Amino acid sequence: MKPKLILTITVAVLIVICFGLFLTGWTLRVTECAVVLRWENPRYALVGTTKGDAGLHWKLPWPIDKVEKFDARVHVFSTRFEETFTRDGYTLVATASTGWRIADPVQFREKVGTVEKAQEHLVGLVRTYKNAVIGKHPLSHLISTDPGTLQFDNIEKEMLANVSREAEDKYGLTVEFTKIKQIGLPPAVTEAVFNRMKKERERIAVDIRESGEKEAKKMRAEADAKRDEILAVAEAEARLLMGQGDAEAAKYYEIFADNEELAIFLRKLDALKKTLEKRATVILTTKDEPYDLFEKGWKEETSNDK
Amino acid sequence: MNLTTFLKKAGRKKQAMTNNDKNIHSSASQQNPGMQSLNEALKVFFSVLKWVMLGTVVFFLFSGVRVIQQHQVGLILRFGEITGPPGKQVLQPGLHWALPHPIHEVVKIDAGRIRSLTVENFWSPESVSDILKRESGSPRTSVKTVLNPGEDGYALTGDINILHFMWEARYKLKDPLQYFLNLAQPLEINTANKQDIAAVDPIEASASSFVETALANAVLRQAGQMNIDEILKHKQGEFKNKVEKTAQQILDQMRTGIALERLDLIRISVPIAVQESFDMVLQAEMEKSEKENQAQVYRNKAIHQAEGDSARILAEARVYKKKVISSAEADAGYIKKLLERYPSGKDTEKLDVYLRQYHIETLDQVLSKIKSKYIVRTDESQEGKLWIMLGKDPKDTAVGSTANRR
Repeated sequence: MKPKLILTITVAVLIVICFGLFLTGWTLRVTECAVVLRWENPRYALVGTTKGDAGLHWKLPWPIDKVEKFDARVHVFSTRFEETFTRDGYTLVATASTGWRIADPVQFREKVGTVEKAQEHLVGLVRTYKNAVIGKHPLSHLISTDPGTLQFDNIEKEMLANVSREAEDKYGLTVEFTKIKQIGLPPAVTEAVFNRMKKERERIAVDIRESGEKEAKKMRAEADAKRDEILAVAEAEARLLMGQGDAEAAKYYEIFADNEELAIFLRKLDALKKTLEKRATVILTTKDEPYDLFEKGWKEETSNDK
Repeated sequence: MNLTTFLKKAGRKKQAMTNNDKNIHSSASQQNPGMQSLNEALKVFFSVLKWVMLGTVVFFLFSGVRVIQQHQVGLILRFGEITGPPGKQVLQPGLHWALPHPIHEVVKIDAGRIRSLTVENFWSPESVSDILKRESGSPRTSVKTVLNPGEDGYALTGDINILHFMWEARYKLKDPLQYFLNLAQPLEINTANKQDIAAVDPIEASASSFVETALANAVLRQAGQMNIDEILKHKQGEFKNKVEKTAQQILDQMRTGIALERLDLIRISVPIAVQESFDMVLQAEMEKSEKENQAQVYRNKAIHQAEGDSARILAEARVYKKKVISSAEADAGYIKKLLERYPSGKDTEKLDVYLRQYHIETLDQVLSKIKSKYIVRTDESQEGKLWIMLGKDPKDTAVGSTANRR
């Protein structure tokens, strides 16, 4: 009887404790932050990412204490296209993307309340400082083929520093990043850019044609030079061969030198055979052999001869 | 309060009731048989109830077993706080055991799956339709000569030209813990109804705006420092790699835990308004290469011909060499033989006679081959004067000579 009663009481107490814990205990996720309110007035705030803040916490039961939780992670939103002026007078249209998280839950709850409201406030801040910072820089700090003049990082850092300071002071928000997402030109300027692009292309097309012509001419000239060189080399070699032939032939000329008259006579006859062909026309006089026979007979002196 | 908590509490209450009821009924068991049989029935009922209770307890114990599937990782939160020593907090796929709800919460993150995102911030829908139209061959309807911000996406190149891009990024989570701690669920997801949430991939929903921001910023930075021809042609690969590298750096700076697996430049185009001019350049390039090809052909031809010619010249020279040597040799041989037969000195007369004969013989040979021959009688006084008409037909060629008096 008695141990059973003890058991009953224990179980009853346990149930009461469970119920009590349920009313007074609350958990904070590592990704959340929370404001604890007593009679609707904030008593303290916890941010899950802060060491030791996430976990089990105690409060007085409702309606004395209340807990309001928010997502403490980074939210992202983008601004619309807005006109911005650079220091050197260019008009740009730009959008930026901003990431923010709740830094001070009490201030956030009091002044902002919801994610939508926070973004409404931030849009204004980003717009103001984007215009202000870009207005301090020339276009070449954003867009330039010379990497030395680019200051993209600095521009974004300046924007972030300004937006972040004000967002923290006014709304209890930490701005994690502000990134320029798009940079464009006003519609009328795009037309001017198109015209410039067209002209540029026309110039490039002319350049290409000219360079093609030049290149082709150069190749042809080189080809001619190469051809002449090959022929010159061949001719030189040919002359050398012919010279060798002549030199070798000269060995036999010794015998000609010894009988010069005879050699020349024979050569002349040879030449005569070679050079006179069918179609040649020959005019001879009666002095020439054998036509001198028109003039004289056997061992007879020509009438004209002395 | 979720189901497990509720069941637990209910179970405890029932157990307490069972004990109380037993006490009451055991004292009343002797009173009458009717009550006794009711008591028996209740006893049976309570013993069944005990088994049900036991089953419930077993169910609790096993409800703590959680499965983390192949492409997932998990985190166990104890009262919202991440458990496990630093570096070992992320649970790998497999079976894991956790306490019931208010104490432990298991967060499953689908980290292994690769998501894709198409970024059209820099693309103009006008250009797409126009390109399709041109592909199908129908004429262009209208060409936009201005681009409106918000409607037509584009990026400015370093030399302030306009280009359209369409990118596709594939990404996954390389650091699920960092992702879990830093990326909020976007507004639309939080406010949407529960059925929609089930259909939406929570990682895609929260990560896509970060990936889009990083990629857009990287494109601006990289396109803004290269000129249009580099991006369109010879440095497109380098441009793409730089964009990918920069986007990854930005994702790391933002502590998203996201890794770009792959980035594709799926479309790149010049604005329609200037397309013709770019085509013109292409045309010029083709002409250039055509001209160069022709010159190349000319070059090859010239060289081949020169090589042929040089071979011919050399062959001719070789022939000449051979001929000149052999003819000299032959001539020399002939004179030698002649001298052997008519040695000089002794029989010069014989040699003279032979030569005279040979001379006449040769003239005979030569002259007999020639068709037109004119023989002129010479005159002492007129010697050496001869009139010749050239260039006329041989038939009526009149050859005047001083001998016409005869």
